[in-house]
Amino acid sequence: MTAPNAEGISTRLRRAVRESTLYRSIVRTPHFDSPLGRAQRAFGNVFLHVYPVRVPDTLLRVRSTWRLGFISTVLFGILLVTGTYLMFFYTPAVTMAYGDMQRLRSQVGFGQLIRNTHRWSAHLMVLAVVLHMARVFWHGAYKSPREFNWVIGLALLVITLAYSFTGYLLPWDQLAYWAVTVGSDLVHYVPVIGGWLRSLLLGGVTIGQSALLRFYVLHIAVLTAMFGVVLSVHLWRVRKDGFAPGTIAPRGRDREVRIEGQDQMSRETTLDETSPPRRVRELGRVTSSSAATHERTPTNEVFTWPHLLVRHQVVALLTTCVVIAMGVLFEAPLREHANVNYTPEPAKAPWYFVGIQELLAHFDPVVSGVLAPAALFVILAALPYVDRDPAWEPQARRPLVATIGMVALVALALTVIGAFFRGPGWAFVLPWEHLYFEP
Amino acid sequence: MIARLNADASGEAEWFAATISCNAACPVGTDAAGYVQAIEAGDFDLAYDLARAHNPFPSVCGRICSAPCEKACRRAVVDAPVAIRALKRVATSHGGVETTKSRWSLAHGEVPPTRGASVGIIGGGPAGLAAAYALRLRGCAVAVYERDAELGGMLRYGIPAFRLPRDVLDAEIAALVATGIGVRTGCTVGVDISYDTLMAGHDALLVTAGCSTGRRLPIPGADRAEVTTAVAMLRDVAVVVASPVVVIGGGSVAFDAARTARRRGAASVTIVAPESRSALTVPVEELHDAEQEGIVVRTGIGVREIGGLDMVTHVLLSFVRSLRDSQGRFRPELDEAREVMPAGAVIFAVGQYTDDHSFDGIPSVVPTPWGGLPSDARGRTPIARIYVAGDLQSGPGDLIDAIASGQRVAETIASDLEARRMLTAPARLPMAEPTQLASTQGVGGSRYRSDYDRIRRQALPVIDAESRLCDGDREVEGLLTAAAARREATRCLRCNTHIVLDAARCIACALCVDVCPFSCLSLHDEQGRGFMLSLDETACVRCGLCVDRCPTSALDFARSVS
Repeated sequence: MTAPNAEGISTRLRRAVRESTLYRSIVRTPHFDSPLGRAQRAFGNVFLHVYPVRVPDTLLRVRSTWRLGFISTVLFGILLVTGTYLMFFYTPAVTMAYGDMQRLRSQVGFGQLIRNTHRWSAHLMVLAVVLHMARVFWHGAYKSPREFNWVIGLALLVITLAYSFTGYLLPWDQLAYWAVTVGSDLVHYVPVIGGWLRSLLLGGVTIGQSALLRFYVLHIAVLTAMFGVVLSVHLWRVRKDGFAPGTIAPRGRDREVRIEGQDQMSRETTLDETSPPRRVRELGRVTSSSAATHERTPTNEVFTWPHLLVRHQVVALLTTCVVIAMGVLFEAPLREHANVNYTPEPAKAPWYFVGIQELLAHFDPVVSGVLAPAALFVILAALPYVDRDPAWEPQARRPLVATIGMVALVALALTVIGAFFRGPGWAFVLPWEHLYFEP
Repeated sequence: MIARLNADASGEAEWFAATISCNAACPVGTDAAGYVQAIEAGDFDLAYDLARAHNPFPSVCGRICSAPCEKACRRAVVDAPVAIRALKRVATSHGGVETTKSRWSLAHGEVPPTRGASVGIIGGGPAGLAAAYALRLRGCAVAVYERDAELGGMLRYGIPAFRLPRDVLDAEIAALVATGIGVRTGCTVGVDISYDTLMAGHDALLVTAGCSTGRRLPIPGADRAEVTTAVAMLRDVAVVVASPVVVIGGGSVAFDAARTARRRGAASVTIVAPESRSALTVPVEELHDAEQEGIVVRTGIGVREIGGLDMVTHVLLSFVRSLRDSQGRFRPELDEAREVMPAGAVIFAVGQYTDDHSFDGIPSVVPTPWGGLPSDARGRTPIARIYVAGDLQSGPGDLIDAIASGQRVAETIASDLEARRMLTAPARLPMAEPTQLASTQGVGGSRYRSDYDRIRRQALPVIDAESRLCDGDREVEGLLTAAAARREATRCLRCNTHIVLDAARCIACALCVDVCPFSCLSLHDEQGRGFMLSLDETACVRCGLCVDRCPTSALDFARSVS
């Protein structure tokens, strides 16, 4: 007797390895080129578990999200890595901090590059988070059931700003010192408790050793812990709420992607007309009031692995390339050592607070420094609870979109004027004549 | 096209039965999925018992069944059907009549004593024997009248020994006869014994005379001396065919005839079949075996003429332009172009009809196209107390159809006898129908490793072509090893495990929809009437991810239990 199609030794060896207890104990789902393997992997892998097994095919289009939330998360990761490296060479002491910055430039391997990358990532992250928020607003993606996740997102924006602001002080140069002075003066304008708040933040009335240490600890420990927790909640809810608003129609190309990614089995049972009829059994009707409230049919879905994952990896890679390129091309500013006795003109707050500084020039400090920003945040936080109309299309929400758009435009204008059109004594200066702005 | 079972409607039992496609396709209702999974679990005794439960010829079927179960097997959507027949043979190699520890008679327990009624059965082929066995188990006295010297019918005189070893056939028939069936061989009804005698001696008469005369095509030269039919040639070992042999036909009989011709010394054998290669009804293994033996299989070709001056020297062939006419009937139409192929002998394997003419001339009887007594689906003929089954009832067919027909008509006879109060036996159905679903409680729940779809259909071991021709009766097909059988069995998609939902527990979270690799599940909002969870049974491989995923344990596996 001969067994036909006897397997070659390499095939048998590979199978023996694949089926060995050791291999199976490490890799539980060794195959991911079959539908079941893909589902098992997404289902059983801790890193992929943040994704659903399958996502709507509309999510594969860049303009469904512009990947802004993902980019923010990637930037946060880059900041963690580069920040950890910087921590090795930095001492939060007024006598040493500035010298450490200089040593980063001249004596630490890749020190300056890492510092540059860290700084540009921080700025980009503020930008990405704000744009992410704008996109979510535009698509009405804060609507039910995502109302509270919008508020959580807002909290993440606040933490991001706090991150950036506390990090701003650490180089202990003139730019850092006076920008933070201007920023922390805003706290002082809070009615009744302003003075107390400022001393809590700075550990005194002015910025000194206590302030530097507090900012350092906040920057590397407190805010990181907070951000980690809040971000986890945010992502978890994104995942549970179905990952995508499903607001745009897929293009033909995405349809092809979907079919290409579909398993052979469904494709054949769907497309082959000679195959026996599909047999669909209704398993049961759920009428209990505890039922979650969205329909889900798998017709327009693709496997997360690999379709969405590949796209995310490309975006992560591009983001990393961009910030490293920026780090190579543009130096992070480092001015002279912080000097309490010499105020540079003009002393500008960090760019994301400079709009408030501009507002200060026109209104009462309590109004422009405290009430206006607080009002903005309260209105944004209340937005999903006020705007309860399920219609998400921007066209269906013209008054709201126009109102919020106007507010955003005003904020943008104030920031641009404050950052680029103001010189010594907060006098109006044309940026192409002299630019008083350092990021 | 979509078949749908609504949650509010009844008919679940039928739906679940139809979902198990191998089981539904088997004419006798063998629980194929059951024994395949028993083999996977390594329980070969259980596998044999399940294979035997509805079928008195499991060892024979494990070798030569046409395996309608495999044609229905859903695994074909992934790659190729599960080798169910080969697995049945593995099961019978553990508990079948060919072994020393046969479990054959465990299936029926103690044979009841006869309870008055007596049935005569004309023809000891598979249909007659299956009917005899079923009737005997219901308390009838049974006598089988066989024209030939030995029982078996076409199993013995139509299927060559290299496919069905005679010791296996003998053992299975002996076990069956040993349940207390009277046998008279070498007894031609109408010659050795008259119908009137039979009618007088029995309360009912079952005719299973079969269709054992070969047809010939109405073409020039069809009745020449060198032209024979497959059944005649298979039946009579003395028929020697002169090479080159041309076998006309594309069915299993054509392949048996061609392979037998090779073994009787014909150097060149060609099968000329009107069907395309993919439309051949023989199992692919048989096709490969034939080709290994040097038989040329030409498909899509019809024969116009058998020619030659004194002797047959050639056949005239043409391509088949269309196989069926506008009504879908088998009526090949040939192209004009002809090809001459040398031929020393021609064997027709183009269908069979019956040679039983006992009822010709009775005015009320209009014979069937194959010349037999007409009957209804349950085997009743226009003549009182006479029934037909097997090929005589439904025309030439497969072994498993004959067994099913015998069992079905035996039921008819038994119930008619009960109606006439000639049989007092309590109805003992040979099989209990599955009634309800029960949760598998996770046991036997199907949790595939993700490489389940990588295991290819295990190839059957076969002896090499040379030794086949040396010893013409030596069985060609080998047995899968136990390991290979278990690997093969893991390919089963487990249609007999059903996904069921406890709607009271379901919270419509749709996590099952998310995790399903084959997009089988969907959750529809029924606009105020709640949410409906539906499953596409066609695509589901019972991987169990949905059951794993379900946070409220609302989803579960269930199986039919009797």
